Amino acid sequence: MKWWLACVVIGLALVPDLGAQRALADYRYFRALSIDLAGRPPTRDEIAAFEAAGFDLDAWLDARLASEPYAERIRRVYTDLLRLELPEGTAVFRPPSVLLRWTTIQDADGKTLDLYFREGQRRLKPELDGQVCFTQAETGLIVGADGPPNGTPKRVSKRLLEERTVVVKPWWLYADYKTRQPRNRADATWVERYGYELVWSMFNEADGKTPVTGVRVCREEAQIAETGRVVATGRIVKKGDPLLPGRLTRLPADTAFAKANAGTMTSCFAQTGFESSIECGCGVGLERCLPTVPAGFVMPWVTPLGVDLAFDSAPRPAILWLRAWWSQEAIHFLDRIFREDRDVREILTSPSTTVNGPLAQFYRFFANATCCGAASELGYTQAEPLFDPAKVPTSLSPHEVATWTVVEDRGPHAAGVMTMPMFLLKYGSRRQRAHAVYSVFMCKEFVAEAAKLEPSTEPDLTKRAGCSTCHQRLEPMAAYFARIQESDWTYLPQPLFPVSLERCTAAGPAGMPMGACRTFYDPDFTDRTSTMLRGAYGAPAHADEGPRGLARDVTSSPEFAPCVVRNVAQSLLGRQLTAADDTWKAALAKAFVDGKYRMRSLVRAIVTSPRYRDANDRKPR
Amino acid sequence: MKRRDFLGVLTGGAASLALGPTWAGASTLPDEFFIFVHAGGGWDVTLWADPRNERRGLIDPATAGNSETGGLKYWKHAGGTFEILTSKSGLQLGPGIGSLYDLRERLTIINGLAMNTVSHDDGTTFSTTGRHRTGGAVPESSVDVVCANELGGRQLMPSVAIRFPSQFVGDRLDRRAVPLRVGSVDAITRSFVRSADYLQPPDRQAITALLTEEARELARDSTHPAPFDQLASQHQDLVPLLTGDFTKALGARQLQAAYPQFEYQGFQGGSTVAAAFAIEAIKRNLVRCVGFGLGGFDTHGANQRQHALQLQELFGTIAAMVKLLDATPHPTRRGAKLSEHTHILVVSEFCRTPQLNPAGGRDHYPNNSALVISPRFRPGPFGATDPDQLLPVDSVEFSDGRRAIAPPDLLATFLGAFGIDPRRYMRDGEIVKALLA
Amino acid sequence: MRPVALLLALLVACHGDRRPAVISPGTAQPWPAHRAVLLDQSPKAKRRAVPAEVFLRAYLGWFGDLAPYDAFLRARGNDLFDQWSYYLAALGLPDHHVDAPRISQSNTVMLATIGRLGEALCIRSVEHDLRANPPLDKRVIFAFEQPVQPTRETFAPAFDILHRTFLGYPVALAPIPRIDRFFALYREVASRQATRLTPDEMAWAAVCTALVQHPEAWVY
Repeated sequence: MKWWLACVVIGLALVPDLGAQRALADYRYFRALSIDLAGRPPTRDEIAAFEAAGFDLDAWLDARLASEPYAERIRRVYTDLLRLELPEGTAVFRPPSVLLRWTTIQDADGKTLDLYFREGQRRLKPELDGQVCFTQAETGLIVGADGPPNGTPKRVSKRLLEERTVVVKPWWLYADYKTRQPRNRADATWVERYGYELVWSMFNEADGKTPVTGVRVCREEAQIAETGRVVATGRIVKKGDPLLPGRLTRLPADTAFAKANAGTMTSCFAQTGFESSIECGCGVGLERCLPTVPAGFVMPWVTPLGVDLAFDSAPRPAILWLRAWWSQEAIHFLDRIFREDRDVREILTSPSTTVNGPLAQFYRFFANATCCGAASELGYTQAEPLFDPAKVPTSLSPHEVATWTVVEDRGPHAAGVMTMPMFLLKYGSRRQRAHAVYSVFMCKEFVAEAAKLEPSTEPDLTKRAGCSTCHQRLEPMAAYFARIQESDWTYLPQPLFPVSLERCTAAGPAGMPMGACRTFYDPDFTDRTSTMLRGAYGAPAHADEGPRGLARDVTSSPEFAPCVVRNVAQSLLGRQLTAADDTWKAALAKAFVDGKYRMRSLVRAIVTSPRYRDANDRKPR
Repeated sequence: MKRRDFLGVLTGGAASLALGPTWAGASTLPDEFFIFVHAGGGWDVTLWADPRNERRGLIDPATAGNSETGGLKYWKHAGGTFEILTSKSGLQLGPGIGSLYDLRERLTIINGLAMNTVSHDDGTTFSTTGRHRTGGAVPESSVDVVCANELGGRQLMPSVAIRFPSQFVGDRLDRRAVPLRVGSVDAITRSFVRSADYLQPPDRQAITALLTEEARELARDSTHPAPFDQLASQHQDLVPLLTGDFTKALGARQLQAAYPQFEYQGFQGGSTVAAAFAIEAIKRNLVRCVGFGLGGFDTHGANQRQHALQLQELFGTIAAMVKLLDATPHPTRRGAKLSEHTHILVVSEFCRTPQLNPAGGRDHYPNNSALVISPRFRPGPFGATDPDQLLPVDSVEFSDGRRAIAPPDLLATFLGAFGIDPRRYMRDGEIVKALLA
Repeated sequence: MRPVALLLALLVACHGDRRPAVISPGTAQPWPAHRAVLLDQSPKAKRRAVPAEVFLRAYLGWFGDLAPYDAFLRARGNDLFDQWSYYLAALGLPDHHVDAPRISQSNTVMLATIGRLGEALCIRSVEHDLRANPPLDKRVIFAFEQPVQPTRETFAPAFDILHRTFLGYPVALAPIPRIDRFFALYREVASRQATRLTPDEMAWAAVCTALVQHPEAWVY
């Protein structure tokens, strides 16, 4: 009988003592998990919970792997690789149709008034066409290309002021700018309510007390119509023509579009509306335009913990403030993929995105202002955008900075982060874009260690000696971006820009592509019978597939999954993977693919591995 | 011997397995200084080092039509383009050289550097380390870190990198050579300010002593002691910096006032104060190497029009530094000037295409030039490019045959000029004796 | 529990039924198959550096979950704190505007920056937690009743709270001299003349400052 008593006692001796302390390695492991998955070291309360009997590490891990800090941690891996920000001084995106310039005039009582106008705005009076809505004779002032006006101001009569200008309650000052009588004026509470902040000079007069209740704009700019009639003035403007008195610029000539479409209606959302219709303005509350002055939009600048916890912010012109949201779009897009444990391939393949108020405004009204420039000579006058404005939520107001909404489908050309403005500007050229994808998602570099560069006239870099080592791979990848303009996001649709366009061949009278043909088609690949869309020669078929084709190619390549594993594992382990990790890495990559490319299970496998746990390398005593 | 001392010897021994400086046994301490400058973005060499003023082959020269020439001190019109400047040492220079033209007989310009890359990241890495990136990772330490490892161990701040692409790679270098990488000069100095109203210097010294002891003990307890050893020595290095007048003299505002010779309102704005920092820190013998970056040269578009002016400003900064070094006594060598013992290397990640693109700019090109100002280098030109396409020419006999000079050769030569065996640090590159004085 | 069970086992073993004196040999049975255990031969990696974002989030939390601007307002004064912009790059944060990469190795400026931030945090926490003496649940850092003229025994539990806060584990598991070392620091600082704080308050501030900068706070 006593043998069973011995068994019971020995069994009791073997049962884990529930009051036993955890070892130092356990605390360090828990701390490492907190740092990586909760974004900070554990608090004392969390340590106490960890120490308590029955602490379920698995459940704790599951909870962390569904949290925002985890998503941010993994997102940081990719934002460190992609670096989607631009230097402040980079001058990008300044289309005149979108920018409200500022000048001053003097009213009948001698008071100085701020006046907003668009450079290039079409006006009823020919002598004002394309410039501010007063002549120098009327105001005493001449408005240059930049800066304050020059001259001695003259008082403008009340009649003339009312004839030429109107006071508008603009979107940046009024949340309810779309209503007949806006009342919800910006104040200090908007930071809390909307995350939107203006400096006081935007909503108070120079005395610091009188509230700004409206801005004065030229009447044409205040128009709200969505379509306008195309006007052809019949004007012939030559380069050497003398300037009209008081003007610093020539009267705008009729565009080819205006000549061909005079009298028809055109969209005021397109550049053609701005260039050729007197009836196209900045819309309700000037929502289709951005004020250039004052630089009063407070922009979060240093945001390592997110825009809500900005460490540095500064007032900037609206055009720079808008740029901050381009970066945030990419961040929110990536966060959603990791937070919802979506297929990681969506980074490149997804047609979706997430937008806030400023981004919604940008995509509805500003993005297509880059279209179409020289392309209009080839018949491209209505933008075919990467993000269809019709899919942008109309409920978001421009000042709803903190409200983010998912747009599931941007349109047929959208491809993950590759078709977002910040990516396309950060990596301005086709080859830069291809290289970014190649290095971040395939973990490869274009390096020709032993190539010998001989002088050569071979235009095809996939064939030129020395260059072909890299360009044989690079050019076909770059060709996927042939239909997106460099340093821009203007899309060149296939019907108007086929890979070879007959009218741009060398068979024309000039013998070589000139003008718009030369801008979009490469003379080095042009002969009498064919030409080549710039950037497409490496693989013309890729041009038509667009970035979606590149997304498909890269995500289906054997390098994609190991590259994801490598980037994430190296970041979590804090070291480069070596040959000793190859078997482990291969197993993780296989599991990642078998698990349908979900990041959560990959991260869980890494942080529960001995490599991660034993990274705190204490020597055994 | 107490256990702690024994362990101290052990860890010291372990540390000596790292790549210690070759001079360690010498009787004299190193007293050379180094300034490294990175012109970020890829510079147009046809405007200064390898000037082209003739339309030929691929070459679209700079003209008054495609460039802003007003303000260019050495733009002399010659049939729509510019006149090439020359020096007695055989250099041919373009108008972008600016005030550095006054010092032309002291310049060593290496042309025709074979880059084999046109990626910003890779070109920058290749120019400063002598190796291309592998899968995005940098395989070797940069030249400033190598110099700091060899010659800088006794300095308070062996290597300072103000927006310079400094790289410390691997475990074999002395941890003191880890560069101080900062975005601005003020990021260095303001961090050393301490309030006088609460903790006092003896309190901070006690804290430092405790932290150093803890770090050393943790190092002894670790399979990899290096991170804790590094922390221990860095804590010790802090003490004189917290108690000296370092923060007063080396703040950005103070430097701008003390060195009005530099242009602080130009293209580079306040970033130029890094040059003033370099001079002051060297003068005070605080550093061995200072690297700084001045950017904005990536002119793909209409901004190419200002490229020559930007180069003029860059080289004006270099010239001002050299003149200040000429006028400043060496901190430890009596009777010597700093310019006799300070060596400047200026690089960029690649050069720009000889032809203009449709936007009026120049794109990336796998050729490059570099500038050295050092008494140990022979002034004059070295290396060449072909006349039609600006590509590197096979102009130098190396052990592997006749080929163009490449960044690892230049960096190996630079290290060799100071008695540093490049093979200890670099896989590639050969010393080119013809470059040395 | 365990010592009692072992004692019981011993007693039973010693006083249970006696076994036969001779055990007859029998046919040896093969051992049952064991699971194969793979020895982990991966390199034991050295510690990794705590990312700057983690430190910043922790720092704001230690200040009472303040936003950066609020933390700046609370910390500044008496030359304790500058603007955040001076510190962020020095902490190793990347700046993607200019493609400046993340710094993952410590350097002197980084340690100086942590020291400055640490002093500001600890001085203000002493003022908030010890001098103003709010209830314990309103304190983030010094969540203990301040021992008067502490001995090592009364110092240790309070130090344990700080140790858990900054290093994430009980001080009992630390290398043995740690309590002694920090107590020695406490006594040394407390022995000096008072400044704006009492000697004991200054000493707690010094202990806190040392822990914020501790090597184990910076690697994981």
